[in-house]
Amino acid sequence: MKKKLVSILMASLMAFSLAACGGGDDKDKDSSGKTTLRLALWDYDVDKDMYDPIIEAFEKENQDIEIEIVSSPNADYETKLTTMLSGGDDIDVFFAKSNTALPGLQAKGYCMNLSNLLEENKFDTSSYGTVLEQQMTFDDNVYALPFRTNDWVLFYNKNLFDKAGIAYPTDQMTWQDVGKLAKEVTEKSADGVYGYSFQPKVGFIFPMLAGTMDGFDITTSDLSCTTTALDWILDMQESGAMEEYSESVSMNKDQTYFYNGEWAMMWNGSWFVQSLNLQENLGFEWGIVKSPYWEGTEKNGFVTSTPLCINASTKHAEEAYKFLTFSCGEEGASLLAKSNLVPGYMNDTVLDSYKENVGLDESSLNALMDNTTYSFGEPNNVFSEIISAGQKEMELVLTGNETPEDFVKNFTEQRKELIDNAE
Amino acid sequence: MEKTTLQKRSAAIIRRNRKKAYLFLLPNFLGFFVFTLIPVITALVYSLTDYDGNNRMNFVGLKNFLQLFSDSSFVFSLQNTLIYTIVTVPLIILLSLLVSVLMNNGVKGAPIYRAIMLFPHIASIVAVTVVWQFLYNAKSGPINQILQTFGVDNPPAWLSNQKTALIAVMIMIVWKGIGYYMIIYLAGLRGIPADQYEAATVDGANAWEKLRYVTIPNLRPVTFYATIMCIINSFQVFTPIYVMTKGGPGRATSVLVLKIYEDAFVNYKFGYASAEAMILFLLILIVTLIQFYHNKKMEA
Repeated sequence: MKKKLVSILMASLMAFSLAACGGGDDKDKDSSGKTTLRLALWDYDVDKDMYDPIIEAFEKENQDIEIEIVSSPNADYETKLTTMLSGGDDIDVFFAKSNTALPGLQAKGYCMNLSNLLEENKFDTSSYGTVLEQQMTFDDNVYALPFRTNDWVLFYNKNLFDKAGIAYPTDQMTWQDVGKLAKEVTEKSADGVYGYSFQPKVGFIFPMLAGTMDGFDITTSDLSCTTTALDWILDMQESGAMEEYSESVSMNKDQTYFYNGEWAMMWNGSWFVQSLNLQENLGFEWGIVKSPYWEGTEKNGFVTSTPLCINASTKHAEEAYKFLTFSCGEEGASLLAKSNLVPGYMNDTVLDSYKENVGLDESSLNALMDNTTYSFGEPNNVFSEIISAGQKEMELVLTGNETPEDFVKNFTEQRKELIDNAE
Repeated sequence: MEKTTLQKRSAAIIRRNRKKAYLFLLPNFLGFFVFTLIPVITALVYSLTDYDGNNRMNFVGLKNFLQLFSDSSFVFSLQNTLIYTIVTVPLIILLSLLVSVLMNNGVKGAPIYRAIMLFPHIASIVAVTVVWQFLYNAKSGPINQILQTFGVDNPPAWLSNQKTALIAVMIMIVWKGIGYYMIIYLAGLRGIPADQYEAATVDGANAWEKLRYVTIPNLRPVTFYATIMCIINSFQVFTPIYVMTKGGPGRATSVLVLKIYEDAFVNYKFGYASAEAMILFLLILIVTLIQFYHNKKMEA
């Protein structure tokens, strides 16, 4: 009797564990013969209006494919994605958080090599501009398509400039000009208004350093050029034209302070257009000018992108490819442009769709077009670690713990250590 | 000598009971195997490989372990963890002992104080941390405003100064930790026989001598347990630091578990992160063994 009980217990336990392991085996195709593609992304609840039209249009065109969304909160996305991919979760298509996260994912072999598929299907990649080659191509092979690209530009609050009686920023400004302008605005504005601000997170400030030299490469370049940018930030903090970084951080400040009309200028990616348009009762007019640049360098702005990848171990490569090229192709891009985001795929049709829906004035629209760009340089297997080490070191300068010269010395040492250890 | 029937029967009962006992223990053991033992062994194996979560793993021997000590971020984190443990554990233990002795000696309103002291322990660590972040604000934070009214002209910028950031985290942790260990000490204090105090009074001992020669020796098992738990907890500190500083400014408050987390889930270096976890495990093991050894010697 007891033996029987034990054996029943054990048997049911094993059955349970087998079922747990084997879960999800046969759910790719439901009874109607549809294939389900699992798509990993972040903040679906926030960006529903952006994704839904694309997914609906795709499903309508491809009746045999169904998209299942696997969403996680913004802040947890990268951890969740890695856990899913390394845990063998059957994700078919996934977004990389940004182009700087892509090299890491590619090196781990999570991204499918798309070159052959694109060639076989004669997919025209010329509409992606330089981003595809600069950010999604590794050893001449393409591993992702740019879903969105984000030119970093200068957003400004027209009302604050009007009140201070100062002319708006222009497309031709250097950072040095912006500094002067910011000080002027701060001086002539009410207390609590800052002439300039970053989103107070290192990730939003660090790209500025890469613009201090033409052809900057974070892995190989001499870093002493970056002191120009760091000195500029310290000067802005000291003069009161920008709030001290540590103060902003301890108050958990973010872009909402631009919405509140407390920051006259802010350097941010073009996605911020969408965020601003979604604000009801903003209470002021705003505009965009091209990214400032450093005196003595070419007039380039920073660019980031949002790559879309196919999981290298997907069982539905064909369907996944269909979805990828739809979302990152003309149809997907036109729909995405309606949400006031700049798609990676750009041609006249897509541009018209963007213009029609974005409600920007002519000069602001112009600021988003035909920009030449810089990035952190050639991606490699320690790329994101170097960037992260640089950001941490930069934080010490922003909080007054270190001088810009210390930054150059310490960051150079850490970079060498990371490269040596990776070999 | 032949066994009597009675002995045989009682042996059978013991056997039967033992089987039942194992059956009752089974769920717990299963949980231990699946969620603790297997992952620990897997991590041990990973620590000898270059596993990155997807690519084929290669056996690299002790390479990860050797690399650890030329990794300045790891050395920083190790130092910070040790400083953090050496400072917070004695403070928490001493203060919670002190508080519990005061409460036990019939302070007026003791239950209210007890509730107040316990509150930080039951409050969510994330919420508490965010509140402390505001308290530490360099310009408008209450702590610095109080310091200024007391004539401190340049109060520290707490969380944004790399010299004070770890201290700031430690102050909060001591405040949060006292409540729990106070309760444990209170329970221990109730267990001390009153006649020992009476005898001490008859012998003419004052309050300090009673504490020194009656209370503290009687509390030794409690202190032993509390110290071990407290040390293990502080070696494994993660949440308050992740929420409050993310290891910053720079690497000033980076601790081992934060470094392990970053290497595993940000840099995808699972092999390397496992090696770091093994070092952490070894540290805790060594410290705990020393304590057990010490405790045994004291008992003897």
